[in-house]
Amino acid sequence: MNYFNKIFCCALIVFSLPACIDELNVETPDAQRLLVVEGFIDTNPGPHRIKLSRSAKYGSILDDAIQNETNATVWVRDEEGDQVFLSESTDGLYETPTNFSAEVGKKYTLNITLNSGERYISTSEEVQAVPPIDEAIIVTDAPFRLGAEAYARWQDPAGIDNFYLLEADGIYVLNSRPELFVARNPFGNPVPMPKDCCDRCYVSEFSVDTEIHLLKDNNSDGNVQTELAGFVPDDGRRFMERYMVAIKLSSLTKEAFQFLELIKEQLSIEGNIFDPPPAKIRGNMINLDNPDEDVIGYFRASAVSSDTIFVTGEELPDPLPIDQLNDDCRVIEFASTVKPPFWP
Amino acid sequence: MKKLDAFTAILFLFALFNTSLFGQKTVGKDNGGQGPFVISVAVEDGSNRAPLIGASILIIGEGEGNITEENGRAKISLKRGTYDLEISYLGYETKTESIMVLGDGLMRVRLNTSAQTMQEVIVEAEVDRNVKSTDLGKQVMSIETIEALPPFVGEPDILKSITLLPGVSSVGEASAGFNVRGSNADQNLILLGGAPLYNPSHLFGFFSAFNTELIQDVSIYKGGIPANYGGRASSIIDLRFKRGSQEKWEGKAAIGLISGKFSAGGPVITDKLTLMVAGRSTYSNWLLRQVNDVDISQSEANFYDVNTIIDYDISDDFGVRYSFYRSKDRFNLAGENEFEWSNQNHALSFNKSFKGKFQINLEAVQAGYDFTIFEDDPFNSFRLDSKIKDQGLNLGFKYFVSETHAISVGAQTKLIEIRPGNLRGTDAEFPVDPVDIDTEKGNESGIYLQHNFEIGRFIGISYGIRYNEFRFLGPNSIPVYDPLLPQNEENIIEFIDYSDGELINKYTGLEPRASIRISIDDKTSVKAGYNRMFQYIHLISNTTTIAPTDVWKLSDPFVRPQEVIQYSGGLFRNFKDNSIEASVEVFYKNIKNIIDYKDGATLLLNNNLESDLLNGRGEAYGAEFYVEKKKGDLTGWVSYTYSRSLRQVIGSFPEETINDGEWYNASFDKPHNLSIVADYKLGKRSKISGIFTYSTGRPVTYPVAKFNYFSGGNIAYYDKRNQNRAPDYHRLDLSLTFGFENEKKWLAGDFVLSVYNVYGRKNAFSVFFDDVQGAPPQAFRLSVLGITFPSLSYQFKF
Repeated sequence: MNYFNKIFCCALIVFSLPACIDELNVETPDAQRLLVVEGFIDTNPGPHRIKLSRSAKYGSILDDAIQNETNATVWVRDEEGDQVFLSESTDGLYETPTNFSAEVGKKYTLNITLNSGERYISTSEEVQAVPPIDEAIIVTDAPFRLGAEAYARWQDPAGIDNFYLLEADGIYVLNSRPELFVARNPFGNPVPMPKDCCDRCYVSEFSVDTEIHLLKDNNSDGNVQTELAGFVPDDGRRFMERYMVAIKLSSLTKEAFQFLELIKEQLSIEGNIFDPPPAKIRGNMINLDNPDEDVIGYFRASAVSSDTIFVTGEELPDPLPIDQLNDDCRVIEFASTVKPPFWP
Repeated sequence: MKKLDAFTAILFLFALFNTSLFGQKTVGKDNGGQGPFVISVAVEDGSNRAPLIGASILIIGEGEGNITEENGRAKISLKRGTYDLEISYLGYETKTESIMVLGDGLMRVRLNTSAQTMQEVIVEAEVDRNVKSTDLGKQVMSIETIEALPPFVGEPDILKSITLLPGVSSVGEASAGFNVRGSNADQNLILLGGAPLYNPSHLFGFFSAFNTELIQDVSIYKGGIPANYGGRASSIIDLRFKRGSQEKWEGKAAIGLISGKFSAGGPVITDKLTLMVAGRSTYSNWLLRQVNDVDISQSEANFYDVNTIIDYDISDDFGVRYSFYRSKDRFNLAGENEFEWSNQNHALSFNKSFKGKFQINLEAVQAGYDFTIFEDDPFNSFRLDSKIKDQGLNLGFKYFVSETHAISVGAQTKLIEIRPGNLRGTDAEFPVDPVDIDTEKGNESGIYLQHNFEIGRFIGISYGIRYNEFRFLGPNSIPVYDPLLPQNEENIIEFIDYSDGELINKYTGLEPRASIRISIDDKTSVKAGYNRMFQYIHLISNTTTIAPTDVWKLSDPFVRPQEVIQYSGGLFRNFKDNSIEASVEVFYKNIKNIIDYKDGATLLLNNNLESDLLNGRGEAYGAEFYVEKKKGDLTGWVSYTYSRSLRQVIGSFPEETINDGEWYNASFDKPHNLSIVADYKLGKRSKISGIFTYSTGRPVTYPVAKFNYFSGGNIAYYDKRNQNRAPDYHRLDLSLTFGFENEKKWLAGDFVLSVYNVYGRKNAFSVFFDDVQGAPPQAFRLSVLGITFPSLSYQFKF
């Protein structure tokens, strides 16, 4: 629930009315099966990934599943004519070699030839320089948010229009009690079945929140910028010991920024009076043989700078009680018992 | 079923009590006698207090009455009890007064003529005005009618009542705007006591922002708009204030579920100066604090409005009026963010009449609107202010050649200043760069001539012409765009700077208006009309309804004036001695230069707003059917409208074109619109009233596909706008009014029990698509008041 819906429901509570959003059965039109191109290259070492899929009918997952676009030929070409081919690692997911990374100032295009023979090309994307992150900051006392907000602070270069994307990934320590594991027998009755391993894991999280954090400097050119990169909500486990936030600051072209902003705006639609109207999301991919075809997605090339910061449970003013896991900690997705080299 | 039984029981109980008149005045001193008493009724002109000679007073239900004599007074003889008097006079609005006779006494009745407002010519008695005048697309709602409707949360609401009339619709409950004959909400001019009102709502549209206690009546012009009105392209909503009583101080107070209000008025200097004051406020803050949820109990939702009206009679035919109005809203969610908005209007007018033949009216008005958003972020705390100031001067002359012939001329000018946005940091530790969007300044002037006359008994003609000049003034810095490229920020070649008051560009507009009436017989007439109107101020809002944080924008070198040309016609007929009015009206509108928005447009704090705007055109047409029963125990009306409103936006580039350049439904296009309003008198002081409304669901956009991005959920992909429809809207409201009789005035009040949305339909305010965890991606509906919602209010006079 976003802010404005809160206002709405708040207003309704003033009138002692119940919450006001419910499901509605509607028949959506049959799908336009459009090519969806998701992915980017940046100045970090590869592999960089491009995902190809087909849009499907909006509605329940059972109605129509999103299909991946397999067996396509995908390559990135720079302005000097150098080409790097991507190989399909899993269905519809294409990866650059690990030694490939984008270079600041260079222009790249993404080229795709589908299995069907249709050819697509992106408009040219120039990698904009990005300033280093000077400081990563954690705020744990934001009003009405239980958890940690991670901010990046950097010096915006004066005299140029800069567009930024901020992202945050995380790793945390999860201590569990595998010896207390309880299974259920076929009759549904609990049967203690202690496990030997493992009671300490490092859990990786990709994108700590689902928000898209964007910033442009049109009103603050040349200033020190402090902007939210992600919010890590307290769930009783993340801050059990310590949490590491890895902040990534990417440069964007104006077009990439507008595309992401449009997606962000569309994701914010929640039915209230402040909603923007549904908009057509236009990207930068073009069908070479049929320029009028709608293609979803934007091929982006960015420069990145990164920083990390740790938060311990003690820093939270009002931590949730610990949500004890009585199992092998490896049952959690992306959990590993291997301690990362940078972990203190 | 149980609920219904209980309701019937309460209804029956209330019906048992019906004791005295609803909203009556007492006449005479109570000496306990039974009469008959002599009641002297003085009938006066509402504006200049001149006695009206020959006015008729009818005691309803008794079939008796009298005619006023030379001094404007008539004597009637009545026993102790309660009566309804109908006072009528040729050329004046008929008035019904409820009185309780306790002894010998005098009662004063003021009748209003349209002559005092200079906006229309009334030459016939009011009862068959709809048939006998040239009025087309005009409707007058008395405050009594509005107060008789089932109120929402105990508050009668003028703007919500207007949407029950043919040709007027709204997009839903929480919406401040309404649409008249297929036009955008910003094309309505709302005049409160002569001054324009920029935001007519409290609490994000749940309530109208003004107190009904002070409103005399509301005139709605949907077409056939007289030439003295200008500045908005579609409709005029003219709310006239009451005048304080010249007899004695009297007041009224009402307590509703979430708000309370009062009004009081009376003489300050007898026969010279009267004063009227009113106030309204909510106690929702107190209610919020009772809620257990910390997010809510620390929230704030507050509004109030206050009014003052002073009338001073310099002489019998020379009057001065000053009115002041202020409203304020404050909304704060759990200390996180805060909104504030406020209207403040002043109006000063001088009215001089020369023997009722010639009138001069001079009016100075100032309207202001401002809103502030406070953002409180750890490193980014700021306040954003936006303001509008609108100052105008109107001079009008009106000459009544004869009863059926009048000419008026006038000149109007106004200076509008808009500060679209000023952003300031509020945390010294983390300064935020100030942002100042260029202030816009414009001068809008108009001269007009309006001529109304009749040719014989059967033809009435009313025509007018208005000439406007709009000057967009400096200081401002105007970008020059590369003419070959899309109007984007990066295609700006240079800026041209203009100094304070320097003319940047000018628009002129000639607005002919005309309507003709041809009477077929005494009870039937056919009318036709034409009018053209320009609009130089535009609401910049990319949402479906008016939000308090929408900014207004003046026409400038890029944004051309909106223009509406309307053709309309109608058939009017009255039945049963004018007690039933019926009409069919049709209209066609050609709408030019309406504003639309590029996908992803930034509307707040954008110094080159024009680069996000699109220019479109529109078309609207429809037929309106209306039957009203005006007399008897059962009164009310049925209104049905079939209308369409379409838009087309074709730009030079794909991103400047909507729906591939095809015509599409405006987002408030609701073809079928039905309202049934009924008011049934159960007894002298109790009644039951109901509203049923039905309309086609408004256009929505369904996604044509879903796709995955950011490895998150499914995202909806939209292609063409407004191709689908939300479920139909329908709702029934009921209310029961019941009054007590008591020696103590505050106990002799009226209870109003109302039930909003009786059968609890979840009407969709919006339909949207979302992929939330734990459910497949699907459509959701937001219903603002999706339950049966009862409320109770109490009002009394003092």
